[in-house]
Amino acid sequence: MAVPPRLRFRTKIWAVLCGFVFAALATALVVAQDVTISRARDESRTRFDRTLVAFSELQRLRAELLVETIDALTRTNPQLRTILSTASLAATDLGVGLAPTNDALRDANLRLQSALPSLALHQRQVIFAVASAEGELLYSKADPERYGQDLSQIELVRLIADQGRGSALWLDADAAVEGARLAPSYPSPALYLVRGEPVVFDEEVHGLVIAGEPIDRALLSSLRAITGVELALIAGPRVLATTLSEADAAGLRGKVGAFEAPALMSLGGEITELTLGGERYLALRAEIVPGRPTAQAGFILLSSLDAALAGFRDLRQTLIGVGLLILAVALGLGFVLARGITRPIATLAQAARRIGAGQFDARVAIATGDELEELGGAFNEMAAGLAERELIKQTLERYVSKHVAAELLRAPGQAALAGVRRELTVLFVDLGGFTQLAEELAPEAVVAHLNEYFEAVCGAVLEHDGTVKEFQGDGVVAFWGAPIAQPDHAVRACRAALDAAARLDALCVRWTERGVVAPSYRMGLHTAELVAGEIGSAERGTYGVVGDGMNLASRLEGANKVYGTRILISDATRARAGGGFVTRELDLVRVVGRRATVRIFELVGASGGVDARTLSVLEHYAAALAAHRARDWDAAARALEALGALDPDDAPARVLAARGSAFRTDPPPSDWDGVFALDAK
Amino acid sequence: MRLVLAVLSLAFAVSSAPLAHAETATGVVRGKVSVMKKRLFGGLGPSDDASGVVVYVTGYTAPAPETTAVLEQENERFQPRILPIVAGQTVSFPNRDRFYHNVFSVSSVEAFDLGQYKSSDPARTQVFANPGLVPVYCNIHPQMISYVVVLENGAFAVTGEDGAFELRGVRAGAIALNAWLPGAQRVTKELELAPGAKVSLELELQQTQTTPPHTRKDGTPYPPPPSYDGD
Repeated sequence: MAVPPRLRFRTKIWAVLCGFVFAALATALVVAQDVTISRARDESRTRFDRTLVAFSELQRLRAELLVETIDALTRTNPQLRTILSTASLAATDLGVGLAPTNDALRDANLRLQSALPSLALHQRQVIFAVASAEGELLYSKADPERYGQDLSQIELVRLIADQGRGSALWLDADAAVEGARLAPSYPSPALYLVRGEPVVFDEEVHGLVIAGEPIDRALLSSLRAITGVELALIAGPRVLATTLSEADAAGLRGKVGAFEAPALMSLGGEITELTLGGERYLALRAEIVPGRPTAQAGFILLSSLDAALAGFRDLRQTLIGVGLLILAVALGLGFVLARGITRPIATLAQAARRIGAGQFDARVAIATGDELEELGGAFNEMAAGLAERELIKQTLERYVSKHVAAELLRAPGQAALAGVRRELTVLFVDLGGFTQLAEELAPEAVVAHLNEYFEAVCGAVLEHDGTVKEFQGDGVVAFWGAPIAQPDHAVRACRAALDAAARLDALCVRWTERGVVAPSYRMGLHTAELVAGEIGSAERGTYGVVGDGMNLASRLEGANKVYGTRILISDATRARAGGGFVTRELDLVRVVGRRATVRIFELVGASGGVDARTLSVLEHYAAALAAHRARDWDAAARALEALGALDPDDAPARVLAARGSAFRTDPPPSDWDGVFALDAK
Repeated sequence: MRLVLAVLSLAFAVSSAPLAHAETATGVVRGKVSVMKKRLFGGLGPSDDASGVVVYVTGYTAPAPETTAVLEQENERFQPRILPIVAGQTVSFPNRDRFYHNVFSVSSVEAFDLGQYKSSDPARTQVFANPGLVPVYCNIHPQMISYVVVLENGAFAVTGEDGAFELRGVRAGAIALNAWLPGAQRVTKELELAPGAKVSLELELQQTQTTPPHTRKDGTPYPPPPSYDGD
């Protein structure tokens, strides 16, 4: 019977606790990660910006140093001045002497080849080229033998002519003119930051010097040493130089295309995320020269996100550890808590099942000191109450219908057990010819048949919510309107009488089939003010009714014998029952010992349940009764004759006909009021 | 090629020498040179300073004068910066500073090196045999630059600020008047000078090569540039 619960309370508590701890932990982790990443991004942007500024500053210093060095060189080295100045003037045509030739340029180249390599500037710079004031190449470190090429169309040289100085970013292709290389041909391409300065004396330009260094790994590494940011120099899809390892650089090569060329303001670029060799990076594409974007070349600045998240990983481990600890503690507490609740509940459930099985002595003992203990107490009270009520119910149900009993138990306040004066309808039922039956049958059969009869009558009474007052031999007394007030007590009583008649008719048919002589039955109903209440001694009592009306009801039951009818009701009952029934006025009687006369009626059936022939019979009878009371015996006889044509067996008609013929021969006194004295009991 | 040119010019010089002696009729060429300099914004504009322009005549050769031209070295400068002479003339380079100077040239017209000497040493001299432009330097002081303009004859002048010039004793005949300034393209005008005539001419020089805005001439430090690319 004890079906195990689908989901244990303990499991639920655990599930809730687990869920809560996990949710809290997950939220904390997500928030912490979010904050960390957001901070890492901010920090990375700052470091990227610093790196770019550092690069700028580094380049500015390098450029400044280069300017200083070139300036110092031209100012302190008469040899360089002499060579440049002489070469620049060689083209001057004064119109005298020999026409200018290239010999001067070759001579300058040879002189520069011998003079320059010992200079520190020449040694340090990868690109080092010297040109005349006319822009003719005199010497290039990368291609020392070449001279005479026109450099004036190179943008850098134009810049120098216009502004007195200039700088440029040169990819390898930029570092060459027709016939001469300005940059060495490295196996791998490079990007150079190049600077040019004129050699000027007394407002006269005598030549220009171009020097440049590649942005190489060493430079990027020195930047990384300052800001900790990894750098990659890219040009198109190529990675020219990077601080990353070989493998990571190869990985980056495949991703360069994903970087959009930056907008004009490089510092506002979008930070993206990328993975190299299993490590996550925050990355930014930036221009090499701020404000001078080039689609060709640029920096990619990288900052390891994993390194930034290292602190977060420590925090995460700690959080998970603490979370698990909290979870373990919570599970333990949950177990104890659940036990504290489920054990008393299981006890209660068990006790409740016992009560459900009718064991009203089931009690629980819960001493938890909380609401559960209160519940246990309430349960015990309930069990006691149930036991009590069950006893009452069992007792009640023998006398009143289950319906009434339930009603009584439900609302005891409405029950008039203590005694109340109230209008009630009383039913008397009696069996005729049962004494003869008792003599014919064996005692066991008598009791069996008697019980069948009582069963039928009581069944009808209880069916219509009546209360069986008592059994008097083979008679039954029942009433309506108490202990529960029933405003329609007369209607219920009439219906119960008709129902009982139908049941008894059916019973008679069965008995006849069995070969037992079917008994006749009589019923009397009366409605009157009666006293209802618990009557008897403290030990033995019964709920009953007392009053004068009881007597009249009993008389009416007996009066059936006079009229040959089965159910007689008083005019009080008829008035109360309303129009729902077909009745026949039979007589006006005076009960012995009482002054008041009572108009009595036969209860024929429920409205609509009576056939047309019977209704005609009743009409003829009414006409006959009226004629009889008017002493018109002949008219009464004629009406009865017409009635007899319809139903020759109508007993009341025969009774009235007998009275009429008797009065015809012996007329009643002149003060006859039509009242029949009902003396026989 | 050079050799051929040299031989040709020598032949020309030799052939024209007797003519110079035969014809002695001369004229005067005077006039004014204006210098168009590049302005900072826009195109060329006339300059207030038209000094230092060498105006000279080509078309005939004349023997070098016996006098010695002087190019002084004073305050670490050559004085004058531009010295026109006649081919074959001797130039003396006295050192007026108390420390050493050097005088040399690597020009293909006249390469020489007078070595280093101080002011107490006697001034060293050099004969400039061939016509042409000979930049002369000091190998100690880079800023010391001078131009010895070796011409065919003595009909030359160096302008002052107003650009005016007057050439006397110009041999009559078909000649060309030239004007040149370092950093500018030479301008030339051909004319037929009648004996005893006085011709007045205006010349305009265009300075093609501009001096870029170059600081640090005075040795003061550069102002820090806004960015390393020199803006």
